[in-house]
Amino acid sequence: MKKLSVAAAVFLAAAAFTAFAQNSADEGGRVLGLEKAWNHAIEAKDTKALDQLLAPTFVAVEIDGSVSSKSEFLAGIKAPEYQPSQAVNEDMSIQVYSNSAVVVGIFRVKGVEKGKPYVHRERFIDTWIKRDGGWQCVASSATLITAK
Amino acid sequence: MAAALAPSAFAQSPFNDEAGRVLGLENVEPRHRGKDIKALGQVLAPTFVAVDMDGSLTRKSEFLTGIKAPSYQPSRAVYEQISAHMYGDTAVTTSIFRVKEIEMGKPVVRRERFIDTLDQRRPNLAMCRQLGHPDPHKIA
Repeated sequence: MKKLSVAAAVFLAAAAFTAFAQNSADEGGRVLGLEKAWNHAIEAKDTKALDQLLAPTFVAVEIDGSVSSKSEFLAGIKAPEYQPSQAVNEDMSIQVYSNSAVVVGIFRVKGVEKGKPYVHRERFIDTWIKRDGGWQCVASSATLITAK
Repeated sequence: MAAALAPSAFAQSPFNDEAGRVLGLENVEPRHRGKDIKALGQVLAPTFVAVDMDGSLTRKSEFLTGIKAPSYQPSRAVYEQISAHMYGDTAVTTSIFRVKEIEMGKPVVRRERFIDTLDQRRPNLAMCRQLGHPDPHKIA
């Protein structure tokens, strides 16, 4: 009887772990999908879509070390002089911690700013929070990659 | 819930709320100055990642090795300003970190803006990440 109970407990623990791992993978996939949607929104300068992805308390640290709030970030995307032609993530990894997730990746953006073409590769870290069944980004930080 | 503290207030904070506890953990100055790898190792989660100023990515073990390296000799490391925002069990802090160190025999002062994410359900409020940004005004 005791052996049976132990076996049942092990089975239940294994099932719970499998369910947790599956759930984390599903949630991770959802967040990575939102990262792609973010890039599409940047390419299209779609601030309405970005508004949905970013939490009201969103904060960004730009590659020059400046910090911007959600409204400032959206204004920067909307600015006529910001003309990204391509925005893609070269690789991404994600860690899901229950109701938060941290995505690390490389963001490559091609565009024209003040008449000059540029290609930037930036290492980013985004923090996402799950609230009311949906994910929103609360913090984003980017560092220009100069390391070889 | 958001909390922001100037350096003087930060030093006197009673840390009697969650944001205060997080800000207390962020006070790594003694750990950096003393190069206390053991204390840092307890604060950082096994999944900790950091992005250095050149955009390179380091894992926890590499980060600790860098702190331990004889070439890293910080004489003083302080936060100029720090704020924390709580999202349930997750805290996001933003700050400017100023460190004085000797680089190739010359004294330098570096200012870095960073964002940290901390998960308070893990032992000692494990830190998930740290990011440094160069300040254009590097003072010799």
